[in-house]
Amino acid sequence: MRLKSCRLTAGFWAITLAMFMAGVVMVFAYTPVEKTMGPVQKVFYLHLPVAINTFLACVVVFVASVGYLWKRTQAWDDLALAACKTAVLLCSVVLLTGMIWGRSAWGAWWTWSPRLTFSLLLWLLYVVYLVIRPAIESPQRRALVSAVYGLVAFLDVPLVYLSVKLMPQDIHPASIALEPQMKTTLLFWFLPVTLLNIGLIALGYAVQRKRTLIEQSRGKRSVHDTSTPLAGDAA
Amino acid sequence: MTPAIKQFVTLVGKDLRIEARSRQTLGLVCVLGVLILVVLGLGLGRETVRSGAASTAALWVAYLFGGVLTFEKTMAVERQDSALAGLLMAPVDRGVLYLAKLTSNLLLMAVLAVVVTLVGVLLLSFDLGAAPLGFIVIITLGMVGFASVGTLFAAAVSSTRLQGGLLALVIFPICLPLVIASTRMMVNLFETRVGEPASSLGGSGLAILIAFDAIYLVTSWLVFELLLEP
Amino acid sequence: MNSSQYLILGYVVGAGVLWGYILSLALTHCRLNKHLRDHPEITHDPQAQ
Repeated sequence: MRLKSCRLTAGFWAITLAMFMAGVVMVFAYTPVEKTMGPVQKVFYLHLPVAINTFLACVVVFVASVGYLWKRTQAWDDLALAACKTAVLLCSVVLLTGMIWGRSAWGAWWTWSPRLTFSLLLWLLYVVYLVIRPAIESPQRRALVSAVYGLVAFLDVPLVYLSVKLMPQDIHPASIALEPQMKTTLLFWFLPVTLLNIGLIALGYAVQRKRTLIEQSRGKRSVHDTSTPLAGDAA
Repeated sequence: MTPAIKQFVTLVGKDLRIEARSRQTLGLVCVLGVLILVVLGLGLGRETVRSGAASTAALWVAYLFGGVLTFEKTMAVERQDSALAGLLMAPVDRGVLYLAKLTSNLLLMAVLAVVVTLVGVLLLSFDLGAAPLGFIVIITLGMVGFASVGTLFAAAVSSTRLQGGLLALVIFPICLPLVIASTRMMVNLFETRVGEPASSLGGSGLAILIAFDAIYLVTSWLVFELLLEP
Repeated sequence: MNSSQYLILGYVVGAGVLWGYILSLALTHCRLNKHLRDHPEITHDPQAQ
């Protein structure tokens, strides 16, 4: 049983890695170069699927937060935390690749264009989820506040998106006319990135479950430990 | 009066009476707001301050920080002498508790806004006369959204041992759409006086503000009771 | 730097961040597993015995 699940996990990661490699090979060997932006446009095949998967991770945070508020079991909180870490990681990749692309195509690492600002605000929104958690000591309280934050933050995403559209000057390509090979590559890239997303959340969840287990047992033991010496002192 | 409205009036009256007697929140918050304006005015320099965009941004910063301090203070009052435990034992709907707290926060913030805006007009030569009605509408809508999120998270944060700065950390990223929408509208109102009609984007900005208020008023009203713990 | 170099930089950074994180997560997972094996009392509640 244990061995089987171990094999499944190894197989999953092997397939994901292989597809990721295949995607990279496709980008460099198969896809044609875009005329106006040159080779750097190919960052797009990583950039867009990761951006879409960031939203998926945010949806998981939302669902897990609602799940916690509904069921009040620690497992939901662990899932929300794992998904949130994944969302922040993926959003960082979106920002980094976007900045590299922008530096090459427009000569600046950062412009306050609506899309860039949107990714930055999304990143901030979910980073805050991660940084407030250690500040709250009681595990139940931490899970509760995080769940409420996860819910509120997700509702904020469409509002951020709409408000950012009010900002002036969009240099971001809204849509690029894709040749068939480009389309194939882009569609193919969704596979490894989505698998990566699922794997990251699952692995993060497993790690977090174990951390919780250890933290809980420590809490129990420390209650035990303090009771004995106190009794001894009194005697 | 239905019992709910009676309870609501009692709760708001209680908050305002505490404030009138102790005057601990308003003094602190208004001085902080003015200080922020002075610091920003000094930092930005004479030329940048004259542009409408810079002064509206400075005003927003003062409102935001003053607001966060208001939420912290009005919730901290409930923590003293476990007043909150008493409130929770009283047969009052938790939604009413939320709305009452929100209203007292909004009233305090209205005073803050008046003081800060007046100081802004004086120090930053902010041209309020250009569009006073638009300004009031935008600020009121912005404050309602900001306070609805702030009141919710003040309850979440105050019971834990963290406060100081943490509340700002939680509220600011959530309120960013509010800040973007209202500053864009303000820039439209106060800057594009030359030629073209003032509010070309006004409609959608206003829609975002209203949507923000509606979403967070309802959500916070529903979720508030989960976060209340003595 | 020219456009192709930026492209390579983009993929190196993107893949590096993603797979680097996965690697660190996997190592943490192994460490936690080892910890749990060394302390069997964590998974079996002492109160229950």
